[in-house]
Amino acid sequence: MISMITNLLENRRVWILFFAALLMWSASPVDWVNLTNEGAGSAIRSIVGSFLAPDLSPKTMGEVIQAMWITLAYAVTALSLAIFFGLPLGLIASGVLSTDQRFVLALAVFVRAYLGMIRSIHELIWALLFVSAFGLSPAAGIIAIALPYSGIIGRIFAERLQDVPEGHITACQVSGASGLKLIALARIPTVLPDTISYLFYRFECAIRTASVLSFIGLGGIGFQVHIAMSDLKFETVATLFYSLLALILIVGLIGRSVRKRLLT
Amino acid sequence: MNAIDKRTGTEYRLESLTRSYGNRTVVGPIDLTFKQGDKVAIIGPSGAGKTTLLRLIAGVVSPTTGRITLRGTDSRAIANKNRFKDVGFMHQQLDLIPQLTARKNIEVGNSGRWSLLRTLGSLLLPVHDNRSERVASFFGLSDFLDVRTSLLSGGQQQRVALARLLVQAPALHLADEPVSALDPSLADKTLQVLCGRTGIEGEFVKTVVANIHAPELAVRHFDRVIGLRDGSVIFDKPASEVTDEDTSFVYDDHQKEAKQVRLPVEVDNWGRD
Repeated sequence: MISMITNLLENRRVWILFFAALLMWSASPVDWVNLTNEGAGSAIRSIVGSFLAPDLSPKTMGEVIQAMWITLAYAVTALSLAIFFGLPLGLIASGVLSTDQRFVLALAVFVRAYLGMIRSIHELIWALLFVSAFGLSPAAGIIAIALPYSGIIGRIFAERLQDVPEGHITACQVSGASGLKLIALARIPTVLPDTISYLFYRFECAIRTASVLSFIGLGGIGFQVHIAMSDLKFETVATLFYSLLALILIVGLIGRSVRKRLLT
Repeated sequence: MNAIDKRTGTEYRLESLTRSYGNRTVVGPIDLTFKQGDKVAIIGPSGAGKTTLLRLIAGVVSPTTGRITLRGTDSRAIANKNRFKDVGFMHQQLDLIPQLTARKNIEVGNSGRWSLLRTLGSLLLPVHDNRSERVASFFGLSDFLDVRTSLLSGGQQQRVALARLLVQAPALHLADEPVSALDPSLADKTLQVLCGRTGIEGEFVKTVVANIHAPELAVRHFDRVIGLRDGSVIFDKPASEVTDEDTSFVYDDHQKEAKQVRLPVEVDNWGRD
């Protein structure tokens, strides 16, 4: 009897069936029959139509390019701030600056806690907080992105610095390096290429976040999407959508070529 | 080049040195003396304790009992930051930083002599260090200096690690299987450079202690050959007096080993000890 059960548990097909059933059950709360409301059909048709024929008039294009520029500026500024604070904080948080000074270790724990706190709160929540503090200003949006991003970047950098293979460090130690020299020779060079390519990924995220944040009135692509949606100008929405896609695609391509260069 | 500390009269003594992991003695007791300028090859089957012995001499593993003295004082009394002048160690796993170019890896050998400022600066600005380039050229690495180390072949990486050791220029060069990934003719050339027969000869009189997998390479390039088995020295002779009979144990034990079930390797605290 027991062997039958264990046989059953070791069978991959049983597990696949189990998870398939679980998936179906999880979808049961959805009211599949009345999935769409009345008139949805024509709305969907008009949206699809607009996406096939986006508004490319000079006036709209001018607005779109300006909106993109604002979004990009937010993302760049926010990410620069996040890197400027995140990397040094990550270095401290990693605890590699000193292994025997209590003050440095205590500082590492403190910074780790700080990084954890700022990244555990989402950009949107920070934005709401800063908007109510500063009003609808670009600074509110930028800080709202920079804060959690510096937490994420700091944490990733700290983890990478800790995970440097012991051999890289011993080899430099045997060659006569110690203390900060070990960080400069072994730890930072080991983690740098991966960190830079990760920062490019973060740049993509920052653009997305900046476009979302502009929904709450900070200007930029999201704001324009919001306006166009309210006016039911789906052709303009489509233009904005494609522009954002192009922007992220370009950043992705740049990131890829930089990464390729770093790895060869 | 004149920055290199020419430590003369350095004599290494291993005094009843042992190293155990748990209740398994891997090395020792061993008593050996390395005089300045000695070129010593250690041969023995795998599992004989060759690597542990080199790590002990390098100071990355501490002995369970016994001690190592140099210039008459216990090696543990030497400050860590000055140790690089006395001992350098090329580990069998090479421990290169794959993300860096070969040049940067070789320049790590300078890290003891370079100031913190220069070390940090070398991160940002390329430093053209003549010494590193010269050493690299002896190992036939000139064309690969600006290639990422991870893209080099195993044999090239092995020579990069050796070049780093020679740039460091300690009084005692320790190398664990320095030519295991090289073809015979390249192995010959490389060992000639390591032992100072060609290339940087005369720059400093160095002591070399290396684990060599092939007894014929040991006899051909080194002045003195030590046979190690089960952690103990079974012979210690000038290379000219080593006979085929002396070295046959390496192969015999290899064959015996193939039949044995290997015990799980214990986790050792490499680098933390």
